[in-house]
Amino acid sequence: MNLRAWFLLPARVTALLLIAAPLAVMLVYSFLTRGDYGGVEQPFTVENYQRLADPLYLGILWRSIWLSAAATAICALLGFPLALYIARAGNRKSLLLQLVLLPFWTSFLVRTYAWLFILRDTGLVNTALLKMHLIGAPLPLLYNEGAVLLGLVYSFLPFFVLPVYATLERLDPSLPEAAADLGAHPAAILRRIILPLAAPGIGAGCVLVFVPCLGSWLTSDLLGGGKTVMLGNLVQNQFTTARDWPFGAAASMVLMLISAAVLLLLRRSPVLPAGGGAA
Amino acid sequence: MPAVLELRDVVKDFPGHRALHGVSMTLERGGFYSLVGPSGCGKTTTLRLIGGFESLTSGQILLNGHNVAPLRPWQRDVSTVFQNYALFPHLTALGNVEFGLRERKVPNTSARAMAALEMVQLGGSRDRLPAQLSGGERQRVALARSLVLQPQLLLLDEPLAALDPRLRGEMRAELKAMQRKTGITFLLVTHDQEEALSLSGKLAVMNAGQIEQFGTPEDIYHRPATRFVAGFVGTVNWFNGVGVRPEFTRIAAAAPPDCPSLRATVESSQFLGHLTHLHLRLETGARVMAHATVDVPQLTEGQSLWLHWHPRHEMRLP
Repeated sequence: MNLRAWFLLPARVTALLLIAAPLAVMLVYSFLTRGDYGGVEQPFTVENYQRLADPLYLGILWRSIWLSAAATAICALLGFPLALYIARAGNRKSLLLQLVLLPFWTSFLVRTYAWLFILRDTGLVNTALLKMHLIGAPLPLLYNEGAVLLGLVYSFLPFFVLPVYATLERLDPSLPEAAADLGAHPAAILRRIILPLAAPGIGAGCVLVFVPCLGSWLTSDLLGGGKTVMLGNLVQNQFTTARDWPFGAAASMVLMLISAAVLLLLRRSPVLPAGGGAA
Repeated sequence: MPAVLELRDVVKDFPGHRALHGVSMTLERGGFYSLVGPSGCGKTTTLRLIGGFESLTSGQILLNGHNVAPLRPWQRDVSTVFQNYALFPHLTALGNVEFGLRERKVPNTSARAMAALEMVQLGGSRDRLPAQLSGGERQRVALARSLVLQPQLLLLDEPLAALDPRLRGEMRAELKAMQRKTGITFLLVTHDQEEALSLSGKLAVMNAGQIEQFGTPEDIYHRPATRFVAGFVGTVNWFNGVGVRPEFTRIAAAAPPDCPSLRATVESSQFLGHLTHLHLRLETGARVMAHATVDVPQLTEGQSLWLHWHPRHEMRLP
């Protein structure tokens, strides 16, 4: 083995032990039969995948995809202007970036719980609106898809902002100036210069929001109140309360497949060039 | 017809310091002008104010007699060739040249852009991305991209600085030819006095946020207005308060009777073929230079001789 191979060894072992091996176990489990007290038993079967075609589960699958897509779209609409603003903030750049990262200093669970106190019937928003006599009864802000969407956007917005900021920060400031010089209005500069050059960052941001949204379960559990079940909740339930490991494994394999498909799709599109870093 | 550009007492303040202390300058249509000075003298700031990338603190910028100070870059009929060329990396050479035409909704963009690319001899590179072009080619695309819009005034920010010396000479000639061919007024910013002298019909020497002198290259070189200008555009020997350029400083074995002279000792000499650079030291200890062209005697270090010059080559400066 040459030196290069030795240096790559830790990465290879890590990938094998922590990524490939668990995935292989899940793959095998997803084709087995559930044991009486959890666990798995023989014989091999495709029944777990067939069950996923049930309208109930297809509904969950569809909801997961559209909620994740909507969260990604909202993160993009909110995150791009924010990233652009930070990239042009001069010497306040690092302060603003730290503010974007600030939520990570507290636990994800605590932050999601905080939204319960804001959104519930006796929460911050409803109390304020009631006191101002703008509404007569509390608005149903919690335990619906809207609340889950809000939670997803809140949780994953920084994952969109950071890669987009990285591409915008590297953008040569004389390019927008040259475009303005050649007669382009600000909107045209954004559309014809900034957006195309920030595309790799936008693509990366979309992946970093969409993929974890698809697998999230805590947000939908707390803010959806068990009524807005997503694929992540289905997987979690099968492994805990339902004790149906093979079905849970099959559901999570489908989750993996969708994520992989999204990644492949983006790699083939001009947004995320196959070469990796484009800008 | 009004001047193509007139700066009237332009002042620019940045937080903490004043970059321009009242700059005034008039450019006639069809001329080749330069702004030259050391880094930090305000020449690039002046260019950016004309282009509309900075807002001025006070004063006026008149383009064809109209004050353009309140106008944004896309509303001004001037174009800039940026120092790093600022080509759009995601667009081809043709796409770059077409950019401004499309924004200005000009008909036949492709044909016009192609003609501009051919004018800079890059017709064959139309589909190449900036990353696939050499430095000189990028420069020419940037030039075509601006010239295709036929602006009232073309601003060039150190356009030759990024090129290697051999290419620089070539591009210098090409710039001059391009200016003659198009008849567009060029305003070039450079820190290279030789570039400014050789290219421009008139140049402005800037120092510390002010124009010290605005004149023809001959005026600037032979009749500098200040010591700074004299020293910036060439070497000056200071003899008892008067300046004499090295090429007008002669050497002799004995003091000539009919012109001013001083005693000096030879410190070193460099034979360059067509001329010899002599480095000398005056009795006051000051170091001076003489460019000897013909009949240079054999000189040795420490040898004593006389320097003399004609009074009409003296520069008396404040």
